[in-house]
Amino acid sequence: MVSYHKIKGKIMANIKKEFSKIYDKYIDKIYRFVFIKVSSQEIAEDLTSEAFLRCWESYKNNHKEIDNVQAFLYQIARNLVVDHYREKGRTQVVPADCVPIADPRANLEEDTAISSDVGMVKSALSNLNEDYQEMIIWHYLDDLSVPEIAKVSGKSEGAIRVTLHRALKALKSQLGDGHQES
Amino acid sequence: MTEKQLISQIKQLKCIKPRKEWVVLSKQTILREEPVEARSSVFINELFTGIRFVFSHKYAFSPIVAVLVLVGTFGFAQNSIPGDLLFPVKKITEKTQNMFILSQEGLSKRNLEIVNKRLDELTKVAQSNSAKNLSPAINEYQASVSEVARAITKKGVEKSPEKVKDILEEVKQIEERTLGIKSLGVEIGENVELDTLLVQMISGQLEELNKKALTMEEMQIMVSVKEDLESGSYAEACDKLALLNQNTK
Repeated sequence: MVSYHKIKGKIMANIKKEFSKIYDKYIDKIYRFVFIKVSSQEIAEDLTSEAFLRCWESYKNNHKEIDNVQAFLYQIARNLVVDHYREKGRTQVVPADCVPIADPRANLEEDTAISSDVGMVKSALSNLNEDYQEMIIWHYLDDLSVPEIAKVSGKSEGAIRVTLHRALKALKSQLGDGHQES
Repeated sequence: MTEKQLISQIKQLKCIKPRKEWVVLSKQTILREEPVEARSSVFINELFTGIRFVFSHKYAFSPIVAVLVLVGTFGFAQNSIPGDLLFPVKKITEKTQNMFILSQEGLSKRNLEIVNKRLDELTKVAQSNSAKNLSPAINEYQASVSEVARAITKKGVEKSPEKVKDILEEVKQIEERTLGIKSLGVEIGENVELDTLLVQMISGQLEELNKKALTMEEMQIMVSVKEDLESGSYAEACDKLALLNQNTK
């Protein structure tokens, strides 16, 4: 007869396997989502770990009730970022050029040019309001479709399209200002 | 800056990636195994909690345990064979069940069921070559057959051809099964009470038939029945009587 603990262990091993795949699939996206918001590698790592840990705690106990893991993870990450800023009582501003951005390209000149461009976009994105930031990250960085964003954010598809359009406009204007300033 | 250029610049942010070592370490930390000691201690705790609960409610549990033990014993006893420790329990159960049967017909049927049970046990013993159970199994079988014979004698030897036919049919089945066991090499011996009963019943039937007008063919069958009766072939005699009863109905 197979013991209760053996069966339980087997079930848990399968759940772990499933969650391991989820982790591999979403770790980059969630990290990037948090990093753009907090602009600190250390804090982004902490908050991302915490987001996955909380997701795992819920997943292992009632994984059948989570019908959209991606939306669930973004929701946890979003709440953690909000909590983080509430605790700090201020927005941490890190200069764009201090942000470590991994890039496999070896050419130093090209690397510098791209880092500068990326840094500017990141900085401009950080200056946008939360709604605009999230729309741009989800649609253009994480390649989420409008219906998917609607699911994650709980807004209507029409509202998402309008917000996306406005967010791009706002970012363009931010970058334009930056360029003019530089 | 065109929208296309802007989007391509946004997409460059995809190069923001977490450190590989951190990704691996974080995954290990989140999915780390629970220590084995902790798991086994949880089991021990659950076990002790259960034992403590039973002991704290011992007065409530003792009748439940007694009933469970009793039910278990009676349950196990149903599979016992003569010579086993639990066989007397099985017999007590059978006798208790008999007490609830009120009609004579029901009791006769029940006695025949018991004879069949004893025959099953005897077959089991013969097939498993269990020497220690053989003698008790034969004794039990003989006792059950005697019980059937006694019950029939007690209510008087039947004269009605219909009832006699039924009784003879049942007795014939017992005789056939007994022959089957004998073919396995088991020496059961004869049951005087059953044989006496059969002789009485067959003779009674022959007397009844003598009073009726019979054809030549039926007379021949009757002579053959008498021969079977004298030679002790009661099963054959029963068969032929059944045939005669059917014809003279």
